[in-house]
Amino acid sequence: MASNRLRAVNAAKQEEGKMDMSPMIDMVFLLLLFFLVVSNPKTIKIDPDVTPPIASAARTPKSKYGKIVVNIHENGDLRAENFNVTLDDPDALKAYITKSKDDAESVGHVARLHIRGDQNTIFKYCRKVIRVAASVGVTEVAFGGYINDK
Amino acid sequence: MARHKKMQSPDEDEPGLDISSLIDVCFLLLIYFIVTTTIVKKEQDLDMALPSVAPSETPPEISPFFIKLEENGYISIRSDGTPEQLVESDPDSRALPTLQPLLETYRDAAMASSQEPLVQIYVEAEARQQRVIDVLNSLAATGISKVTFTDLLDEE
Repeated sequence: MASNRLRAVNAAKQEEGKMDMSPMIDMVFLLLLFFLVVSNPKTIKIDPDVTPPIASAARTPKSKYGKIVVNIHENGDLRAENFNVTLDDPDALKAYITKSKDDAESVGHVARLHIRGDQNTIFKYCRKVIRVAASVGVTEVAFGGYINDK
Repeated sequence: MARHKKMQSPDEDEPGLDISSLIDVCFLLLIYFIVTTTIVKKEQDLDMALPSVAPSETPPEISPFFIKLEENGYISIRSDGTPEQLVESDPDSRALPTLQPLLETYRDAAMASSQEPLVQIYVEAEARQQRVIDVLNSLAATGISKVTFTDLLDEE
């Protein structure tokens, strides 16, 4: 028994198109939470002065943890993951690898030497690093490289 | 008049959130990140397990495949007591078309006798890192991860 006027007002209200945004916002937060939970926050700093070699068979590492990064510049300069730290002194190199190994093993990770050698450097610098790592018990070695030159 | 007021009151009480400014900010941020992002080339790993530096008491059952890398980029091999033979002489070629099949044959022979293939590499000190990686890349492509650098114990 509603009056004609009331019916007209209700009809006008129904014509107004409104989109309910709350499910979309729910979804966005759900996705955000999902990516926050599954993301792996460990990143490796990239020394911009090193151009790694091309290795088409290189693969994505299984774990980013436990890596002991040593950057080798073209002229043979050795740098830690924080590339402001030089490791040219053999004692400094040994101390860095030993400390990184102990840190990795204390939290249950396997220590792995990650060599980021410039493609134009010579192998003797690389060998020097491997030798020091092997002397402190790090025998897992990974060489960084690009899978193609593009 | 009183009846008209009663009809409009529920609409006025309903709280409404204007999300258009939120969407504006979201798009602004999206555009900012699109413009400022630089895409970095992704680095990958060539993994390998070096045998322990300490000399092993039990020698490997399989005779290792020996690879020699010279400083000019030439690659020679020796396997099972055969004389050393030059297999790759183009240091600028990333693929090693002669070495690769030889490694595959060696790997298959090792697998057939239920043993893990073992490769020894001798690299001259002045050899380029890229050339060493070419050899390691061939090994990784063949599925050989047990590698030893023969001169690790020597002093420089």
